[in-house]
Amino acid sequence: MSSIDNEGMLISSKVELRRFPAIEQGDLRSVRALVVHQTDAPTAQHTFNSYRNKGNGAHFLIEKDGAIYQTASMKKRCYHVGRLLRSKCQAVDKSTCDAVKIKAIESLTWELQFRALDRYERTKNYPERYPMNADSLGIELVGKHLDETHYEKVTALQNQSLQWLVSELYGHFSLTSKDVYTHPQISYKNVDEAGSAVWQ
Amino acid sequence: MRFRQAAFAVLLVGCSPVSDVSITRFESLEPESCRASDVALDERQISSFFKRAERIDGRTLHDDYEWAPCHLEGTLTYQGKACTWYVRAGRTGTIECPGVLQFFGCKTCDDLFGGGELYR
Repeated sequence: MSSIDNEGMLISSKVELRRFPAIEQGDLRSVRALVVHQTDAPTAQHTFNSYRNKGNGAHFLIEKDGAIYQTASMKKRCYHVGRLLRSKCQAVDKSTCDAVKIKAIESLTWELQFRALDRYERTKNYPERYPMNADSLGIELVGKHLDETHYEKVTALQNQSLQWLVSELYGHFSLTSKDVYTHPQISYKNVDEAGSAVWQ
Repeated sequence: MRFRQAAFAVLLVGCSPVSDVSITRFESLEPESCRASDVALDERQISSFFKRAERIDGRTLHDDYEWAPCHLEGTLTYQGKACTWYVRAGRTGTIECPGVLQFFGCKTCDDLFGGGELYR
């Protein structure tokens, strides 16, 4: 059982706190969803090194041996989702889309489509749209990007730790398994990122 | 002599490391949204893409570029080796030579993809 302190850090013997202020980008007012990523790095240390210098990052990092690190406060936003949101209604249930609007968007070129879809999606509230940086926590799993369509497989120890972490966060933020997404589900990223992650 | 060496160096820098480009196929994982017209490059334009693109690491590819669900692929000669390539509608590409995979991104290649300003 874990708790969350005043600084937004998860207090548990299973979590090592390694906070990097460089990846915190303003206040996170609500947590409505979790987004699972892979780092494209061989070890957690590589990611720590990049977190000292770069603005992008996530709240948690799980090493291949299952060690869990908290790298940003859960009261702070991290840039982990990306610039452009995919359309949730298109992916999940097209009947919930505005049919006229979607038809017009689908006639555009791919790059105009994804911009138009992003603008359309951002007019909605979660859970009608996919989560954004402003309402989600990011969980990174250490693992390399191998080629055009593959990432390293998530290890069994990583999945075990991911399941524990996700279940703790369900309790703290009243979430369910419907509120957990992989990065390429919600944004335009390599289709296999976190594809072998299992959280339920 | 020094002038001839300098001229040779300039010639080398100006040469594309890519030659013998051949396109083998177009593929889309989302054919309703990402179509052949979104990545309609010919062999000369593929060569131009790899000449103008910068080599990037996987993290930069992930963070700074969009992964398009459609691509062209084919073969080419890169630095004297027979390799395969992909170019995606999101202005990203890869060249895979025996045992080595390199990622490329091009933010100044809008003209090759129909002129839209994707990253500006």
